[in-house]
Amino acid sequence: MLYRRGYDTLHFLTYPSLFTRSILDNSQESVGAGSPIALKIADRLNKPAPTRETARQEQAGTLFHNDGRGLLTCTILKSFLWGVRGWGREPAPILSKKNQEYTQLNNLNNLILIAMILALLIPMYEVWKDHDIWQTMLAFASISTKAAIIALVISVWRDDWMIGVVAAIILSVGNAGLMLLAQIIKRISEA
Amino acid sequence: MIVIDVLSYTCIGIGIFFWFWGTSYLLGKRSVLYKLHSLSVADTLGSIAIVVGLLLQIPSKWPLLILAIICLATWNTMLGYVLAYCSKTGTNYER
Repeated sequence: MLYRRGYDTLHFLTYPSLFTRSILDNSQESVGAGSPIALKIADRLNKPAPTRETARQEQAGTLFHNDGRGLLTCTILKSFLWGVRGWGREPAPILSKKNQEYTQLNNLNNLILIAMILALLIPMYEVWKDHDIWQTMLAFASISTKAAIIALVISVWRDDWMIGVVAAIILSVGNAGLMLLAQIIKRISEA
Repeated sequence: MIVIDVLSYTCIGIGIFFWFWGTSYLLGKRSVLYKLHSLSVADTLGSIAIVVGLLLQIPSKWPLLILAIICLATWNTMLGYVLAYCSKTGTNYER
């Protein structure tokens, strides 16, 4: 829960959707307990290789454990977070043939997210340069729209209505707030 | 199914292209109004294209997505007008 390996950073955003079942699910499977790599590591260490069951029994008493997916999980919090999708889940099952077709799409989804975040960085850079207040306001408006759309995209892919509602609120109220701010800046600069 | 996926990803790709195209003018040395025009047009149209792409992909979310499209079309346009009105005092906006 607290730490994931680098390749997993964007993947976790889109984890549970049917469309975004990932090829990473397979790679997570292949480093988990009972996998060939785990057997090889156990052979090196002269220890009996952990199976899924023994690994789960070992983690039952501990506060933190590595669940074999490169994911350091807090065991106690895990039970609280069980209902939240994508957090503290059981290791993903091996994908069916139909889901494997979606894995190719998921890589595309990650690329789309990366491109969107790059587009979000441009107005942020503009705000950082900051020479004129109206250019800053423009950049803020752009950031607001882009952040809302990114949140909406993630909510749809995660199949999560709550994030989507937040995105719709940002779209309307964020713009309204910027309008009020523009009026205030105008009045102040006139006075 | 494949056709719909291709269509939706094409829409999303067009939207992201619009985002980059419109936002790239933000980095130049043009006037605020010029930047405002390109940014509001590209942001609104690009975002609508992205949302339409999502709508093709997952139609069960249509209330949220239609709401997002309506919000975008009305409030982004309105924000463009308000920002243009507020920023026009005293600056040279013919460049």
